Amino acid sequence: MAEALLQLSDVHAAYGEVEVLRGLDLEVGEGEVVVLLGANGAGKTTTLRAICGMVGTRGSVRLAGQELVGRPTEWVIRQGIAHVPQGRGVFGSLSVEENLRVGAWNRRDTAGIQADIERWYGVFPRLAERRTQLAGGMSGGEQQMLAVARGLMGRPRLLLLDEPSLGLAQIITRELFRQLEQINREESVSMLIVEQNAELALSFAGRGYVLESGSIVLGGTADEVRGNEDMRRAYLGY
Amino acid sequence: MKTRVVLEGSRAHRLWQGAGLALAVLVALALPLLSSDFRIGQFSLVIAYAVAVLGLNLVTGFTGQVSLGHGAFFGLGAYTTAILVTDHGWAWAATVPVAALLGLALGFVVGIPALRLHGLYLAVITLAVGVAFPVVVSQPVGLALGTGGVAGKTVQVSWDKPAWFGLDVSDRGWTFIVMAAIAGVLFWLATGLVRSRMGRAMVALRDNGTAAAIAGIWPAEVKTVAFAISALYGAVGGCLYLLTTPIVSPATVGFTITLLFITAMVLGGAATVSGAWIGGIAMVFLPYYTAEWAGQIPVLRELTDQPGLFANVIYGLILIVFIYFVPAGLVPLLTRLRTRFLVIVPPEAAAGPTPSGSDTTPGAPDGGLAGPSPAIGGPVTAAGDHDLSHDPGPPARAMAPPRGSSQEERT
Ligand SMILES: Nc1ncnc2c1ncn2[C@@H]1O[C@H](COP(=O)(O)OP(=O)(O)O)[C@@H](O)[C@H]1O
Ligand SMILES: [Mg+2]
Repeated sequence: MAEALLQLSDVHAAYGEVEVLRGLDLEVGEGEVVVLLGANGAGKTTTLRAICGMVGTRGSVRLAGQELVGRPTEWVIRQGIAHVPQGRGVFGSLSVEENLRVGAWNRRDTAGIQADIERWYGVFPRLAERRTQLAGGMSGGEQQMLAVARGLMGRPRLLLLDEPSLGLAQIITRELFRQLEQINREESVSMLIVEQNAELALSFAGRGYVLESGSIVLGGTADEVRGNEDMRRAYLGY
Repeated sequence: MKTRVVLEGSRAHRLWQGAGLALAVLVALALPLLSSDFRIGQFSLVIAYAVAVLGLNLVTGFTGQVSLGHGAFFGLGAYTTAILVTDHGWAWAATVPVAALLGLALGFVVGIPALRLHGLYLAVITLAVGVAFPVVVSQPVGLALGTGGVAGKTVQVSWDKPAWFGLDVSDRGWTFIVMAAIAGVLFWLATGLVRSRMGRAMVALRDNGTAAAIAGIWPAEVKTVAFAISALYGAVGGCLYLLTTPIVSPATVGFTITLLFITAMVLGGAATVSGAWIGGIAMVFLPYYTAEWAGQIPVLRELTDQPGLFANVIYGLILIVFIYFVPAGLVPLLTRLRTRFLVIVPPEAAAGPTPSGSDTTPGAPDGGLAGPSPAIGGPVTAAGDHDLSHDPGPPARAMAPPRGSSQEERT
């Protein structure tokens, strides 16, 4: 079997002395959408950080066969990964449009960049209305949209999303996921999504993992994950 | 008063811009016509300082990197010019590119610690450079290079007004006009820089270093480029300084001037290009007038026979009051005042709620005062974001692999 696009094997990650990931195995196939579930503090955010070289990591993280562990974040990003961090982190004193341009930092195709900016304005009309406004002055939901759009401006092969729905109104969350689905379908961008809204995420993802105390306790197709008794009680509430 | 709304890039906007430029040229030509040589000398000094302050602003105001060694870059430029002119008979103009390149190189080297260090640690390193410079020039190694040691290096650069220049200005006035033209070009380039791709990356790095790396920005590249360009401006400021003052000594380029650059930057407005002008004006005229005022206050005159000492106290008080009431600096304040009668809106945003139209576009709402600590800088940074510099990150962090293509954007 060919290796998956993203392959984590026996990943350990620690903040100083505190080990947070303890031998994590996970994979995301080419064009696949995978959801990562788990309680608060389970290590979901840390998993995404480990992929991007943002935390001291041991083990192996491979993107299309290439080892990422030990590489600086900006190098990893250049291999075709976009990371939309939890809590967004937009550039508050840049305008909306400038934020999007920073997202396209690694690209040289001026026309393509402009086209993508217009595309995201189409997807998130709120951003278009505020294109010259400083990002720091926008609402949480608007900043979240901007963070997602900025991540996608880099035209990644793999998109890492950390709780994209956090702070978004239901209707906007649904629109966001609809867009993600379309991007995945049309451009076969692979996605690893950390999401609190397990039901929504599982309806969109092909597969899911459940993380507990730094290792995977359950993994399988979306239906398998949804069908698991413990899982249902813990995350789906029925 | 009626507020005018002008579309960016429109004819009206270009007219306003043209008017602003014409006004600047007019001022630059009128000052030497109307002023005494003494005043012209002061205005020339404003130019030299403004260029240096602009350099500091690029690295600290825009990029958020603490630099307490700016006096060293200024000194490097001044000494390079002084030595080449006095000992080797170079023309002043020929020394400028050399000083600029040396500044660029030293800035690049000083920028390297910035790759690993932040906040206080970076401050200490740059401080060391700033403090070491005046010491080095007074040591034997400096003497061997021709620095003139503690006494300083004298230099005579005097230009005669060329015959073709029609205006009736003095030779000093002519020098001022040439300096103003050079500064005009440098400010124009800096404006282009902060609006370029590199400029956006600089602000992004200051706002949120983690998010910048996540966007694929190489902090190493942006920081070293920012330090190098900052130092280049500092060095050229030093070259210009020698057109106003016939000597440079270790005392001129000590830590005091670094502090003055920093206060000047804050007064004008960190992360604004034009704020450097206000900074330069403050550096020259504030101490001058506080000294004068101190001499006139009767109580002070009776208290001590050295009222000049109180000049520093008044100077400090003005700074404190100023920082308290106008923390973002003067330029953002002036821009806000201007929007009462002239608002410039980008074309697509004509319907948008908040017109930005300022020459401080990438400036932080807080005037970049939060700059030096990028992780704290952004008001939107959520608790989930950590400054990675404190994490035991991967060891390869500071080593940027060789780049295939040059990433800098020329302006
Ligand atoms: N920067 C950090 N420094 C130290 N400990 C951290 C840091 N970030 C997270 N942790 C700890 O690591 C564990 C996992 O955190 P995280 O990956 O954010 O969980 P999740 O995203 O699943 O809620 C938690 O116990 C948290 O306290
Ligand atoms: Mg998390």
